[in-house]
Amino acid sequence: MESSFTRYIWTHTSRQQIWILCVVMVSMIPYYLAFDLPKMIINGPIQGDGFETVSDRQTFFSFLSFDGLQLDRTEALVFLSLCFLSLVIINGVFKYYINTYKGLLGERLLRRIRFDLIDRILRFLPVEFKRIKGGEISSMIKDEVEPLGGFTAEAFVQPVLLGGQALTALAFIFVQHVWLGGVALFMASVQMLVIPRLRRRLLVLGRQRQIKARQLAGRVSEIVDGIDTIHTNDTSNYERADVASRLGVLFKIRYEIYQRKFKIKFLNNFLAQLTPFLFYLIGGYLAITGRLDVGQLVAVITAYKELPGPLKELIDWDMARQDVQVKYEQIVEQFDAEQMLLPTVQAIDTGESGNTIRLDKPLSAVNLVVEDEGGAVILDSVSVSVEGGQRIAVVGDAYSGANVLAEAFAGVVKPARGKIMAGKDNLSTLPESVTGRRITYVSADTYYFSGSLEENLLYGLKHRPLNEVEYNDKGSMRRLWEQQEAFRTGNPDFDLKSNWIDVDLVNGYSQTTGMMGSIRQVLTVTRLIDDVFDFALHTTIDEHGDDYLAEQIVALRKRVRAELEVTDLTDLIIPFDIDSYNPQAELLDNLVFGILIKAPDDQRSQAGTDFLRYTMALTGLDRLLFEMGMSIAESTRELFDGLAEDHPFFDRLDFMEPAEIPTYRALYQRTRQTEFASVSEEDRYAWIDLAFQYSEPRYRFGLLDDALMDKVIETRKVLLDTAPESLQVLIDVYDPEHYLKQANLIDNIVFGKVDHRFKDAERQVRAIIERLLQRQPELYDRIFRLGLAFNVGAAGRRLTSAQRQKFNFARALLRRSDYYLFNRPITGLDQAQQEQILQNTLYFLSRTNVESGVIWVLASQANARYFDRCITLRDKLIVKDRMLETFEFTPDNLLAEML
Amino acid sequence: MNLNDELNVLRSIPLFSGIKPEALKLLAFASNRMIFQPGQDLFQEGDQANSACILLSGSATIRHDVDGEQKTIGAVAPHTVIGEVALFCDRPRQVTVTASSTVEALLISKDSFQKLMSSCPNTLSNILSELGEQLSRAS
Repeated sequence: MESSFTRYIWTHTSRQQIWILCVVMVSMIPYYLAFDLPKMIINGPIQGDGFETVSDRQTFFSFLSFDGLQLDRTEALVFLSLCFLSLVIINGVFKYYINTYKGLLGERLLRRIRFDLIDRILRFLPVEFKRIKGGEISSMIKDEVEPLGGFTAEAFVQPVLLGGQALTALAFIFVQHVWLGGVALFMASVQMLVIPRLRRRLLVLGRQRQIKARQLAGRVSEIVDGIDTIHTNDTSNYERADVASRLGVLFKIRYEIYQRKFKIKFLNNFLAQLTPFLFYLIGGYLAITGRLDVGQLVAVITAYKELPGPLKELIDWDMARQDVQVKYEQIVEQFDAEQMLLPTVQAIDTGESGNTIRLDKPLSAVNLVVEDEGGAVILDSVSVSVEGGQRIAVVGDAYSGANVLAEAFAGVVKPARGKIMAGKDNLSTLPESVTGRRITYVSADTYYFSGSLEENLLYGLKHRPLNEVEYNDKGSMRRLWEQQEAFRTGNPDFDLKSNWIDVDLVNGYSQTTGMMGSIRQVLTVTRLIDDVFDFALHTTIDEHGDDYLAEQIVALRKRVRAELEVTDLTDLIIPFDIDSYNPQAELLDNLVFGILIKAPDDQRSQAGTDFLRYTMALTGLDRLLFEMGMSIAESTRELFDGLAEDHPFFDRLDFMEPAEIPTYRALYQRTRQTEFASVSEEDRYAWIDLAFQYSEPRYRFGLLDDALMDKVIETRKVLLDTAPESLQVLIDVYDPEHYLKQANLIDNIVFGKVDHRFKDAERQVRAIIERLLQRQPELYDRIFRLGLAFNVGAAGRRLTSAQRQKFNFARALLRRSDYYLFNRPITGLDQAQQEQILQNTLYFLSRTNVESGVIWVLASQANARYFDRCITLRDKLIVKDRMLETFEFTPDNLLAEML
Repeated sequence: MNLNDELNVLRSIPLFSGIKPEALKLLAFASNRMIFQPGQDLFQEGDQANSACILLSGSATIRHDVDGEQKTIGAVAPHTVIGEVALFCDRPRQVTVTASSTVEALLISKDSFQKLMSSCPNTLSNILSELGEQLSRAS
């Protein structure tokens, strides 16, 4: 990137800058005309200059080809007023165009800078990422470059315009009187020289403020990333101290900036006012002594009024220029790595070559030496060759260099000496469109972006857009605009909506089973099928509006029920029954025999609440629930009294936040001695609301006896029988013939609640559902897709750590590559699971991609027996390399059946 | 059986006798109550141990792997604790315990137990005394 921001702007926007300058110049004509016209209107038609008699006429536009317009006084007033209006409109249009165009220039340059910076991040060598912090970098790209865009439009137009205005005023003063012109010039020069000098310290402070603010952003990002560690180590107050200290430094800098800024402003204003003082003094003296005409002095003073404005703005512009230059240098410095991948290494391949190019074989390391950042050797003179189709186990402890060997093959670390070769090609010279596809690398570090599971799984397949998307007229217009704008700002115009997934590069892909077939295979290899099915079962499908699926689920209910009876597992489900209380559901759900739906408006919501309260009062349930709420509070007090608010056991208390305890304590004090009828409505329903959330199996306070359950059922029936039609829509009632839109899939399928008191109840029920769905593969697929639509959250935080590693591994297996480098990828799993997934993987690759080579850095040497060859490293050296008798690996039955 | 009943069962178990009733009740609240159907394992030999089981009702058999064969070495009666070692250390399960009838058990997690201990230091010394008693009886 250019070192000067002004040059950067000029390089990318010179034509537009010249254009806007021309437009600004042209706009000056109507601008100055509009200044002059009011004077003409007042002096002419209004005050009557030139219209002394009624018949007097004046000529307008006589410079045109015809003789001009002969207008009387009234006509002249109307004509000149219309001219004024026209000039107002023309000036407005110019202003609108100039501002929009300036905005456009700024936004384009901003887009270009941001893209340039992100492009550089994508081309940084991995070692650079040990230096930079994600939070700081994102703060720079998001916030710090913002003012650069704003300055772009002012970069050239402003100095020309303001300089012109200032020079004109100065020239006018000189014309009136040379001495006074000299005074004005001297004072202007002092202003232009002194003020920027004083502002230098401001620039230094501004730079410090920028660095400190960026570091603060980096720390905040680190706090968010390490929040679990902060909680578990009780270091939150240390973090508070650190943040407070940084904010203090930032405050000091900012305050000094304010102090200096206003001191300079004061001085600037003073200097600006000093000139008229000199005019009055010197000019007055000259006038008194007869060496200057009074009219000239007035004209000079009037002309001077036009000078300070442009001068001040010019100084401000210069200040802004220096400020953005500093910001720009700061940013460029951060993004200016010594070594960076050449753009050609990541250039997108447009032909078929990306799919057909194979890595030459074998893949070999030749006298490979890898050093860490400090120059210490972490892999020493290793030479090893991997043939296609070979399965190699690499074993060694954490300091052996085993993991470094895999990282070097994958290009994650660069050789200090020696090289990695694919046949006769040096791997470092090959573009990423070859290495990034023909070699698949996965370690225990996982990468997830916020999005669906499916998007995350398919991420490793998205190398280039494969087709042109067909848009309708409106869509193609939009696309054309997007392409043009991308071109103008140096961005690529790849279409994100295009198909990026090349099925030729997908393991186990077939026309019949499609992408879903491949996904299911790799999820079976990594034993994630049940996890995805679980995600699906806990999804609510209302938002998807899939009526067909809803119908199929309702139809499935009876079969599930029958299967539970056959397998004698009916105890695992507590069905929704109008005549009985479901202890696994909360009390409110039992009362309304369904799930409350959010009311479309406050009025309906209030009507619903009123009716529910009325019905409870009718049956007397309100009094019972009021007492129950108080008992819950009493039991909670007994349990948690004296515990600190942050005690971990409060996590089990779903119905009350620790911070609410004092509120409930006060409520208890107010109501415990008061008759039910005398308690205020607000207090009464505070207790009843608490009771609504109660579930006996979960809290076990012993508060739900048969009498209370009977009363709930009685009230439920009254409620459902008498609810007005307008309020019935507020409850998604448990109806065996209809899908419950507010409930998740599993509650819908079993039409009840899984009794979680039974060990493994949900797993057993899920197994039954999966078994039944084997006969309806289409329905199974639809449900499975819901699981794949599960949003994994930021950095995959909605997944467990084991799931993150397994899905990360599955994503790698989905790619059809020549070599697979597995660098202790699933160490977060227990030993038995690791061994089984390893066997599944080798089986899967032997069936779907037999020619591929596998290098697997193992966490346990015992698993080396499943490989053809075992390389042992110790102290950064290969100490043993031997061929092994192939040990039979046994995949999971499901996988064996699938392949 | 509600929280108070569970408290009574816990109080009858020597290991927990040194814990104050209010702390013990909190421990019960923080624990999970689970039903095991006949034939279901409460835990298996070799599993990572992370909780103690208190049998509230039903009975279970204890088995141990001897030369690849599972041999029954004992039975668990109601109101007894099993697998309590898990509360103090990270050893894998040494035996398999299987429900011989429908078993209702309270599972006290190591995590909950240790959190409670860290907030009640006196309780910890009482428990250690009780463990010492048990060790001396065993030797």
